[in-house]
Amino acid sequence: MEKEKIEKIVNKHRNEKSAILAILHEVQAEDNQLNTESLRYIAQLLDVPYANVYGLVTFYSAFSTDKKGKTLVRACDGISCHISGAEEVVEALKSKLNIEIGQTTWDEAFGLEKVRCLGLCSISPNVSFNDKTYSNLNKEKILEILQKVMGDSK
Amino acid sequence: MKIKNRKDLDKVKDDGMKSLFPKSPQISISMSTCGLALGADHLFQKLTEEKEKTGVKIALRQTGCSGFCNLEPILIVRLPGKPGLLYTNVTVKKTLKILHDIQQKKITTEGLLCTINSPASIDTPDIGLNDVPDYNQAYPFKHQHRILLKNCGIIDPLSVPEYVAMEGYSALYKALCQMRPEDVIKEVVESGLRGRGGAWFPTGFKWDMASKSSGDEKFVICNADEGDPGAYKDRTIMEGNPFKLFEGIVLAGYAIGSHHGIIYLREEYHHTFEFLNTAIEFAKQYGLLGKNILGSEFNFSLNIVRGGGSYVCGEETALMDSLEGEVGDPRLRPPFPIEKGLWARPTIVNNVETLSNVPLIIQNGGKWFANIGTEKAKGTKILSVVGNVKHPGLYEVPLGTNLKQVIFEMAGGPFNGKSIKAVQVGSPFGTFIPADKLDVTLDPESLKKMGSMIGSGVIVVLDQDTCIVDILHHLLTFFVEESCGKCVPCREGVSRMEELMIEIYNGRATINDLNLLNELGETARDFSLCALGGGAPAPILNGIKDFKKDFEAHIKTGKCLLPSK
Repeated sequence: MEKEKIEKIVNKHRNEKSAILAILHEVQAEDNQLNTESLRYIAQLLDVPYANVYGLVTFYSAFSTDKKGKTLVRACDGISCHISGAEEVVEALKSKLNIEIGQTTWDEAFGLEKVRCLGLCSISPNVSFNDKTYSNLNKEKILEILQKVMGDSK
Repeated sequence: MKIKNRKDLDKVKDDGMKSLFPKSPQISISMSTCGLALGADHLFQKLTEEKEKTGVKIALRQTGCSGFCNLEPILIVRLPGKPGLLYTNVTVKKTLKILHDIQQKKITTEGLLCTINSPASIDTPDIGLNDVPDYNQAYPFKHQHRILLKNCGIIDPLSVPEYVAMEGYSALYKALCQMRPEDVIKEVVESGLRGRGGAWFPTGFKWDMASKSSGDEKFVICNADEGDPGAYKDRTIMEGNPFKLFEGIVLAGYAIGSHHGIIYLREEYHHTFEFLNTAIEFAKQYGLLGKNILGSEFNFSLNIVRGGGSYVCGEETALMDSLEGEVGDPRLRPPFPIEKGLWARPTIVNNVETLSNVPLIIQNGGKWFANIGTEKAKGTKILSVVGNVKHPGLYEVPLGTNLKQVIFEMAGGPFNGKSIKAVQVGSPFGTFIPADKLDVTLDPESLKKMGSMIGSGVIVVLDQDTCIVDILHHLLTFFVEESCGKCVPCREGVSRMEELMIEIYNGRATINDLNLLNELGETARDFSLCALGGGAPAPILNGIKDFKKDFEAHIKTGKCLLPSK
């Protein structure tokens, strides 16, 4: 990501304590990734060791050093979703997108992840596409939604 | 406007009453994460279009999550001089019908769940609504004791006036005008309130110690890292009635002498993050956060920090590490956070539900709160009943309520005439209680006797078609993923347990491996640094004991006992 953009984000949080997680969230939201160059520059601007910043990115599951898909598909695998058939939904997503959990499609349009609990446990299984969540899913429904989202993203 | 005195507060209250009991028709749509997931945004758009097309005079507003996401989209119609009308599972077609009926001065009865009554709102009882139950008498609110969730799903969660109309901020006003910080702590001690995040620590005691810690800077942290799969009570409070939480946080600050609060919100709650930030702006506009709160000398700022998607950061010392920009490793205690917490300053960490109870306690008195619940467990608890039940959702009940009553009377029991196999109570660390032992009261002491806990209030109901080995395997993968890796018993022990469980699941283990699994579990339980490694083995150890048949079937055949699997 361009240095100016990173500077803008870091400066926005300059006077806050607890700023680094927010900075990482915002850089990733913009660039879909937290690559080595970005992390080094963030570390330099904040005057913290690069190893610390890298440690954070690899510790927290929300951050990724690899490019994430433009649309991040997060399939809930909480206990309620597990009981009500999340596996079937995840399998359908994997086979339709032709990727495994943690991977991104070749055109970087979609990434697929599992999360433990989106907090919608009485309308499970749930899957979110970026900030939009779909509930009460089964295999047919998720394929229909995916079809629509794939069409829209073209 | 900033509220500076009683007169201002009354004025805002009046505004709230006007919007809750409007002079012209009004439709509110539930627009929390759950409502949006089931199409509330689409509904809102359609209604807006229809309004423009037909020119009908009707106000469109929003409400928040009520805890019963399976009833979404939920719609509340408010007509002058009538009780509020609450419709569930509405569609675009049904909503347009409701809209047209309003124009014709008719009341749609299809999909009408209950009325929301208020003495002030009713001029004359409506005969057409005689058969429609009141909110307190209608499923699923019936049998509950909703003091915390009372306004969730009813008021506009971003309207300060509506919250004030429901007696909101009267506790903070009372505290800032009439009470010393030690008086606030006294009421909280007297209430017997304990930590609702699962640790069950006496809140008043914690506050008292923090207030006596020396330091020119102190912090109030609200733990909103609601990570237990199956739990969403904190999300519902935050999205349904955020100002109640803010009021509780400011009260905590006043009590211990802190001027800065932080809500540590779990990463997965995207919508909640945006939503709470908006709510904070509104609170500032009304002078409920910032300088000279409610016209007093007291200053308090509040901000929200998003986590990074790590379960262990729900543990208070790991949470503070995370706030300091480190990876979330639990710290050794002592020193305790009340002496050396965030940036080595005295800090209290309280759960969302705990803090939201505080305005009620200050408003009604500690004694009032202590009268709810049992001798030793005071107040209500929000239970998140999920899994194989007819009516999953959030049930707020007095502590000491019978578990069987919650599952069968309130949540309707299992569906399709099936029977229950086991129920997990508390959190992922809770044991699976077999069906014949469900006659237990929900309070920490009774549950502890069964090796279980009240935890954060998750109740996972599993019916006869569940394989316990499958569920325990699923749980173990979760614990392994979320172990921070700092101490060996958790990092290595729980991982080996998971490996063994895979072998058992696939029929590659021997019966002796169960002993090994037991031994690993006991070691991790007794020697881990924090509650994650220490708690993870409990459901496994109890599961081996109570559901041995499931294990034996897998070991012998590599298959479940269940015909379908």
